[in-house]
Amino acid sequence: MNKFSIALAAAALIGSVGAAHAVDAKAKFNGNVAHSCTLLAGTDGTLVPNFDGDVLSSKLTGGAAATVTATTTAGPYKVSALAPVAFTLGSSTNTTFEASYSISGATTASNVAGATVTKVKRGTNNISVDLVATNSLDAFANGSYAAEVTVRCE
Amino acid sequence: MNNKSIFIAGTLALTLSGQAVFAQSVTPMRAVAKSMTDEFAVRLTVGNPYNKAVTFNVLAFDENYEPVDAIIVPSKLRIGSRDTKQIVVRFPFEGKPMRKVRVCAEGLFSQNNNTAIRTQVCGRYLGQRLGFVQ
Repeated sequence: MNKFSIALAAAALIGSVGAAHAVDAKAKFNGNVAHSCTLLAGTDGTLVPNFDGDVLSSKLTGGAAATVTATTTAGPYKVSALAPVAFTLGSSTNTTFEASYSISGATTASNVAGATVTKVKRGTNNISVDLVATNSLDAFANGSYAAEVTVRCE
Repeated sequence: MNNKSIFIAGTLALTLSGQAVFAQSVTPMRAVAKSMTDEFAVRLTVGNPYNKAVTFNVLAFDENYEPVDAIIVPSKLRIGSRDTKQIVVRFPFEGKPMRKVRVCAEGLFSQNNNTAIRTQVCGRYLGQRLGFVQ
């Protein structure tokens, strides 16, 4: 083998090493989308009695609605606010409960009966929940009262 | 795109994907479960988006929200802030070729006021029995 062919072989070897550096590498990405509805409870509500004392309501002056935020990634998802069947604190004798809600943000709805489901749009939906408890026979007895409203996203 | 901008884009994508996981309450919320046995199961992820640990109850219903028998493991779980846990719910077919059920994760949040909020996030699932012969 003469000097020229040795140089040629060396150049071919260097060339092949250079080619190895030029191989492409693939960076792979994986993703997963699982649509969902997230409920975030905000502030609790406040019930106040009416003048006659037979209604406890968050809608009266001094009362306050409870707040919940429903964030949906896609849909369709629906929300509702289910009234309790009894107080968690205090006597529920002769008492009926009515829940209602309003939505602002991605969806707009006003004073919807609690059991009615409302389709919500993708995004942040601010829900304010009201509760009215009515004693059909008498005024509520002195003491503390507490109730729970179930906000459902389905 | 230079190396620095590639790095920033990669970091952002990871951060966003992490937030999506934290923000889920029940996933998936719709699914079909196929089974060759006389029961079917769904594995769900319950997420706690709050900045404190929360205890959730898991409830099983039929499609009309009537309570049904199901094996829920675990039926009550405490999840740390912005964390997730998995549950498995097993339903019998009750002799039917398919069954529609709902699973709800329920949390109670009270700040010691007189109207507390109970939140329920409910998924809807269809069980299909393969090779069912009546």
